[in-house]
Amino acid sequence: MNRGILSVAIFLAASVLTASCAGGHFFIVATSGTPQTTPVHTAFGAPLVVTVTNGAGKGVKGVKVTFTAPPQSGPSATFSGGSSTATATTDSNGVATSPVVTANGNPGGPYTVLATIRLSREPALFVLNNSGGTAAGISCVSGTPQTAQVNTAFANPLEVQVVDSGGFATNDPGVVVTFTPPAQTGPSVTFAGGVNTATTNAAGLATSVAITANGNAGGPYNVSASATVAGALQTCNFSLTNTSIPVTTENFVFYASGMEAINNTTGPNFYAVSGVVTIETAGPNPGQVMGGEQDYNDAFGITSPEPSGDSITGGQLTVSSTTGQGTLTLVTNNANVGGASGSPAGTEIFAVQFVNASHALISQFDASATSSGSMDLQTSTSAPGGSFAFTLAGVDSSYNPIVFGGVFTVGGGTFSAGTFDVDDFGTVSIGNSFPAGVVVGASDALGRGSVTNSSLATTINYYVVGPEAIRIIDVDTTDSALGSAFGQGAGAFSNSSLGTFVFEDLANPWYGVYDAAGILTTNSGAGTFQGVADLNEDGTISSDVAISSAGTSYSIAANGYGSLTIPGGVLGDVSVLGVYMTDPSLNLNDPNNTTSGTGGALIADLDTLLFGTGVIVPQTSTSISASATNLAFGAQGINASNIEEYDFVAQGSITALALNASGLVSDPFDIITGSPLENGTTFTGTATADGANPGRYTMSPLVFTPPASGATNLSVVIYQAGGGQLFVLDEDDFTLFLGPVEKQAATVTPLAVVRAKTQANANLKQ
Amino acid sequence: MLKFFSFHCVKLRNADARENHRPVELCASSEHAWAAKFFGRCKMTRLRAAVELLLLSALICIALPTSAQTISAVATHPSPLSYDVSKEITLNGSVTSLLAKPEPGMVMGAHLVIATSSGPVDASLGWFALRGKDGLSVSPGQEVAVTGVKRTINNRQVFLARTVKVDGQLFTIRNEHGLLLSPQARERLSRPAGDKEVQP
Repeated sequence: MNRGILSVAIFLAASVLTASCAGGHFFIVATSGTPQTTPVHTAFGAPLVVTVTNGAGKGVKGVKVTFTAPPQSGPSATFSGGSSTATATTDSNGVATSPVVTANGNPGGPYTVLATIRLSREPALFVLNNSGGTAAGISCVSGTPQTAQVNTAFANPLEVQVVDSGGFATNDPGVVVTFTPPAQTGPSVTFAGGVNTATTNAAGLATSVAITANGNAGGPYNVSASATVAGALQTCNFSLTNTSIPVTTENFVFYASGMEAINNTTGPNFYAVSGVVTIETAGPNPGQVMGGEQDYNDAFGITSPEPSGDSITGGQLTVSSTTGQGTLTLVTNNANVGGASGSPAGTEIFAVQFVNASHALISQFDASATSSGSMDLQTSTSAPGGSFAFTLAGVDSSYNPIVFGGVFTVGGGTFSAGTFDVDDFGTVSIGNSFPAGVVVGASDALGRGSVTNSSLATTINYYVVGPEAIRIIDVDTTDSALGSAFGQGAGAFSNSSLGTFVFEDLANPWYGVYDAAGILTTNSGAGTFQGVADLNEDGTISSDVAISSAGTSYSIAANGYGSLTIPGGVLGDVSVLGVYMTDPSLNLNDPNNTTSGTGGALIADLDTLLFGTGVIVPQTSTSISASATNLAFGAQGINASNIEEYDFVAQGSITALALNASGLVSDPFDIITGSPLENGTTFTGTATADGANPGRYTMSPLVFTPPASGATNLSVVIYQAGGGQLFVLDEDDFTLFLGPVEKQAATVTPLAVVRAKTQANANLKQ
Repeated sequence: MLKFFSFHCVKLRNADARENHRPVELCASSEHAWAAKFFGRCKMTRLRAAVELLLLSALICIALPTSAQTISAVATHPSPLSYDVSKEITLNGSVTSLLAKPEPGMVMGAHLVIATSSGPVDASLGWFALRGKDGLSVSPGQEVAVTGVKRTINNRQVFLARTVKVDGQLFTIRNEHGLLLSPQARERLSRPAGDKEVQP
């Protein structure tokens, strides 16, 4: 160590020790700088000065003095660097001087700053006051910058502070601040309840109500705040940005078949349409159709070009978030389709009735054609693989009705096994094998592919809904048909695979002269069944028909291929049904529903006089809930006098068996009224349980009231398969229809923004 | 029957009525507005209705006496579409009227009423016979030969026509199973053999 420095240190220590010993105590007193007052955020006029003396009253040099201000949460002061403490060392006179002292932002006082030394227990005290600042302007202190998605609330309100000339907050209550957003034609905000003013509180702070980004993306943009302070208009700006909602799209596979009103040179034609449509389900334009492809085929001059099919170039899904009801408009590049009822050529409109966010019943609703079908969320685009059951119904190359049904196993781009039945206008052929060399082409990006050499048709196109649900459409120019193929899961079926079930047998739209439904219970050992059924055959009603086991028979092979026979004449001309078992975990009406209504089979009516397809659904419940339940339903019907088709989709509630519903009726042949499109048709009636046949109900009348015509009383029978799945069959001599009734989910639209708005509205009402 | 129809003929104003400045009679129950459209607008006077009803009564009482005896034997759950080609007969007569839509009580579809030597006969033509470019075209008074079978459907006698021959031209209404041929099917049947597709 440097000898000089060591000498000084020893000297100072000796001095202090000597002083202490001599006097016993050191003393510290505030010499100057107290009391003082200064506005917040300003420096006090004088530093804080102390003098340290020994017991003899002599100033002591070299004593470290610590100045400590109160906590900064209240009125206080800071030293250089913003610290609450500072130190200084006494000079030869025992005097120590603090750094510059500045009042903090909290007005008030008096408060005390302490000066302390180690050798004295008694501090020196400095009494200080922070006076309030003088309001001179306003500052946008919180809520800027901020970002929010369009149509959603910003996280924070806008806050304005009255400030002094230095920009420091002042306590000025009662100042009215006005917030002015940009015009709503561009990116902007809206204020809850339209309140765009706020008044400062005791601390001089004004807080806006909740603000929400409007529907226009963009920014940053300014929301100005203005207030009169110090006699002048003062302003500040908040910087906000509205971001676009991230675009989410979903693909939906649709299919429908029915009767065509355009291309009507010889009379109404059969037609089928199937496709996949990409819909923006979340984003700036919810419901906008982003693209897609389809196949349309009336086998009488309007067949989509193959292999491309039609391109879907635009359109819009509009759907009510509360009812799930709406329309789907598809703009295609095929000028031959649609184009009726004021729509441009190539534009098709479908009525849609969502059951849940991924499943809707549909009907063409543009007067160019009428049909029934469904639309389902696509969960896979991969080419089909595995074992499937299928049915297909349409017209053959002679333009006579034809139905197919069967099972097949597909893999590696071909069929490895399969058996099918066909009823070609009364010529029934059972147990046919698929030829060798069936080609199952690869699927495209939208899950569309083709099957050739199947012997069902020259070319059948498929649209994949999911790994076990496929829509199929015959795209030959001379014949047309539509159907579905459903996976069979693990397979291994037997007679025991059918227990008690509800069946629906829906006529081929091209010969829609009958519809049938019923409940049957199998006796697997005997291979017989019994039950009850209803049939409307050409306006001849066979109601509540008891089917005894005598003479009945059925069989199900291990591959799920089977048949079921009702003795002739017991149920009109309904006698032979082909049965094709499906995966027990599939809901055949709603293939994305894996939790309820699952299991069953496809059926094909293989009678000489009747041509239809349908489904078998295990009966798991026989009682309709007495509490209010929302239902979606639809049906394909005909005018029995001249076999012209109408279709409808509808929605409503049933409470204590009383139905109150409304829907859209497609009636291009003017069967019902002078209008081909009947929006707002009501359906009302009360069901009566059939005590002898649990799960069977009648409703007479079902009052059917299109808005443009008078009410018509219909008689219907309802068969319940489960809590969420029923079928309704019309039993009138002038009309007949059959269709599914499905329990609606809480969410009945796939459009996220619509759902969000609904939720927001609900919240506001609360 | 007459009373039944009198009860069901109600006066309603509709577009036709507005055009003609008079009420138009519709054959329908007043509580079944939709059914009225299904059955078609009668646009007939009560007198004409009565005449046609008498005609229908005559059909049941005179033209098909053997079938009438089978009414009580109708199956509980009938097969209205069944057709036994082995029981076909041919009736010759002159056309009384051609109905595009059925009157109440008739089986569905179009009807050809002909006067035969044994009385008037209601021949059911189904839904397609009058449609299309090659649809059946006859006028009252024309001589026709109708081949078909007698049936009892819904307790009513009807003659299901399979073919109608008019002026040497044969119109095929049904195939041998009794299934109705659509105009599209008739058009394809009429094509030269080389133009026919082989289909499934």
